[in-house]
Amino acid sequence: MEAAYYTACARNCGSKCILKVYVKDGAIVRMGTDDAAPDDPTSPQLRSCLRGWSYRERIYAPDRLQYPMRRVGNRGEGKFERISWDEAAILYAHMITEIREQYGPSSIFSMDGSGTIGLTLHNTWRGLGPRFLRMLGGGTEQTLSYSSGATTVAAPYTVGAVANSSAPNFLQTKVMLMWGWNPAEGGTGTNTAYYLQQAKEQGCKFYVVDPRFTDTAAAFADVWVPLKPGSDVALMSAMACVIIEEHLHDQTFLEQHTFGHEEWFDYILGRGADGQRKTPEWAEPITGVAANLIRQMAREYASVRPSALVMGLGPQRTAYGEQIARCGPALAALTGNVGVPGGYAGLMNWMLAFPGNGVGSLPGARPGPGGGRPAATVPCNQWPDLFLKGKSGGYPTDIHMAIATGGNHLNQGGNLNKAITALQAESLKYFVVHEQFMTPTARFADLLLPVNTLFERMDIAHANGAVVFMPKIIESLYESKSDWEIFTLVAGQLGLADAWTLGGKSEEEILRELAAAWPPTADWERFKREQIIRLNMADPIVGYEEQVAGGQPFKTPSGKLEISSPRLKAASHPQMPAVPQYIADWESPGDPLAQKYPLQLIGPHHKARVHSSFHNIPRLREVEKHALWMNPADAAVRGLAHGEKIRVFNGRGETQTTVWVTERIRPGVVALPQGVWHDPAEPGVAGSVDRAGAVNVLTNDRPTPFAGATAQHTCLVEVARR
Amino acid sequence: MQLGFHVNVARCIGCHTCEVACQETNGLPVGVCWRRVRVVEGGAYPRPFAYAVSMACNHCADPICVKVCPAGAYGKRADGLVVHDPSRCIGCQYCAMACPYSAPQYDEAQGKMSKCSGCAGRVDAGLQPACVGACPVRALAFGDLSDLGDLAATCPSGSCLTETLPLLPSPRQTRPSIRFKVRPEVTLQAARVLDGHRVRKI
Repeated sequence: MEAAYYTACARNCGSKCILKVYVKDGAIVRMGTDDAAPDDPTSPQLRSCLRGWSYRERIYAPDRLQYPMRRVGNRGEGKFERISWDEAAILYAHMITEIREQYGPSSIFSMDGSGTIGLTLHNTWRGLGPRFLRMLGGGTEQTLSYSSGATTVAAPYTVGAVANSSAPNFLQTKVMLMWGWNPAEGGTGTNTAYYLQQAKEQGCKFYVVDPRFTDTAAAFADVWVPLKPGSDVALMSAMACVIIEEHLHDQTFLEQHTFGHEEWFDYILGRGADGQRKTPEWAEPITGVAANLIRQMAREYASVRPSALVMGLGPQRTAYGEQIARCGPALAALTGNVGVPGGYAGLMNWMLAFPGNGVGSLPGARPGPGGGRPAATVPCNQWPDLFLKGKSGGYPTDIHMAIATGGNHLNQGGNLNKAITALQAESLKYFVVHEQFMTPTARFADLLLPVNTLFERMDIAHANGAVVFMPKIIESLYESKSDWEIFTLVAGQLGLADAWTLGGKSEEEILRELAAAWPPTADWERFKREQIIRLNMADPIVGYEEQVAGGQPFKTPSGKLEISSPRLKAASHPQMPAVPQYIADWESPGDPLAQKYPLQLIGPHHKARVHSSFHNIPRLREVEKHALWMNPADAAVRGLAHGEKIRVFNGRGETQTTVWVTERIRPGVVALPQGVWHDPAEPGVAGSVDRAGAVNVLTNDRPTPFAGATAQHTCLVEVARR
Repeated sequence: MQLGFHVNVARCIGCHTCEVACQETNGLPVGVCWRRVRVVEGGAYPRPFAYAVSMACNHCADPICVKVCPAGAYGKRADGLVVHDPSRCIGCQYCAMACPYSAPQYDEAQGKMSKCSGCAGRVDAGLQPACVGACPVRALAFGDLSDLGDLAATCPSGSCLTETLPLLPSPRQTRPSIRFKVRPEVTLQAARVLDGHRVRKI
């Protein structure tokens, strides 16, 4: 007898969609997607993408980790022996106790990743690992994210708190600037591309600003603006110059809702310290965008209302990402497009806005009253440097143990070869990894624990436009357990099981109590039966509407959108000026290093992966083969033909892949999608040539100057035939 | 009556969800894609163009697979769907050679051909084909061709309806039951067709 359940695909692509799961004899036989309600345009089905549809193969993948293992070879060699869960729990607890007693609580680092996100109970991202350490009295936790680190720190100086709008908002937009934003390949919210296509069909004009002619550019762009990576603020500044000098700006908006625009005008108009007018002619050689095109885009953006500047997060993953995160909102404010229907505030974080819900959050999930405090915090992307240097490098602590949950940090951070040396440092006594597969990070584990998938445990998902009850659809495969169960076992060894489980409660009891906080889910049995509570998507959410239309203050000291920030002026940081400024990136075309490594490398998201998840699904790898995008002009100089085997290299590493010669990328820029699993010729040897095309053997780990965020898209390489 | 697919090329974002949803619903092995998303690229930097074309079996009015099959494995239903009976198939692959759209595909594990049936079983149960219900941008539709729009008419958004595209064989060969909605600028010469990342002959 076949049964069907709904569940949610709670992964970190930026979307959270509904899956339908067909089960027979205790096994998942087929996947489907949202068909639980008619596909009403005002409440569209929350359909999943190809990754969700492939999930059955991920659950039953032949390389699922099956039982707990202990390392027997050198760290990173990938040699393990099977142990029992009893042994694993005792060993785990012993490691924690030893490290805490010998080095103190802050010497344990929570390397939690975004593998599971958007849930009520089983989140890994800022989730169960940190909760566990805080229950022990606090370890070292990560701040920022690989995704949006510069925005997280810098944008609040301008806007107070980042407020996104929902996709239906774009149905009113007349001109759209998609700036480094690629929802056709990268999520950012269920149905985003669907709403954008409706906007296009209603006549909205699209500019796509991106070094690559992405699938988004192919599907949407009326005009493609292929700028050089890292030149975004120069391009925005030149647009501002055109808008101000041609009096296309919204002076009323600036006066009513912003603070310090005059100081920005001084910078733009050449009345500031550098004396340089930021004209389109000034910007043309920096950005590689023709001055006429800059003028056209500026005029159209400013004079057709409402218009929306929406930035993806790629642009701010560069050397001075802080400036980009502050310049976007300044430009949006200049044209009066903040807080108005059809407008946008010029930035984005994670995903577009969706209606909230009242389901409670897991007690202790976040730091604060009742949740404890971390002993120390460090930006996530700095872990290799932290592990290698500790206090001697100016960090608040030394690290002697790390617990990785739901993440593949080795593969996904900058300068992968340095990260290998960090995981092999003698000072790192223990490395525990909770994983589903033998990822590049898992190969380095001292203790490797098999985790089940979201189909093998109960939860409540905060999907995009719905709250979804996620039943335990099948039993945990092999000996796998949820992170919750694993920490329950270890807490038991440490005498803390009651604290961890909130007094011995089952997962269902906890979820039921949290669901009781919100009337639509309060009837637990009914919620379990009906599974999907749809939220109102029809009424657009407009970010900053309450500030602009409702008279509420922005969450800044002045209560205004601070184009110039008095706090930053007081801080007097040389690379974080009070108004957003163009600062030329290191490791960019102007760097002497460009003589040796003349190509700018970016690592975009790939449509068939969620970061490094789904890399190991053969069906998805067939969809679009992994390769380095290169313009024919750059290929001709190097004598490379389409499809040839190449090596990509710089001073940090070398990777092997094939070249995809295409007119769809700007000359001088190459793109290697992130997320394939590092496959070194010599496992566990830093600097060994990677054979998989893993971009992070090439990227840097130098943080941005103010936020300390990742700048992985600031990178120079050379390419040659192999 | 003639059932067929309506493919809104102007809307498609090339995500391949239809392809994978088809494989999952029909239990297809890796490499057998009844529905395939091909990407057409052309133009030159800084004005390239690209569009994705999702296509399965076109359930032709004059299906050549039915004609060439020596085993009588193909049939055309009253609703126009062209269906394949694996119990009769001898795996000779004549159909694959004859079909101008490469719709029938050889399944090595089975030693037989297979192809899109228009999800005939789902259609009989009153459902849409899996690909149609999966499309994240609602670029696919399915129904009687006479309901899928008038070839002569121009759609409101400036897109137009066509029964063929550049690089596709002449519809006169097999009279495919398919309608494409394209942006006007997409009736261009194309540089090459990409099938996933495999370059296909023009």
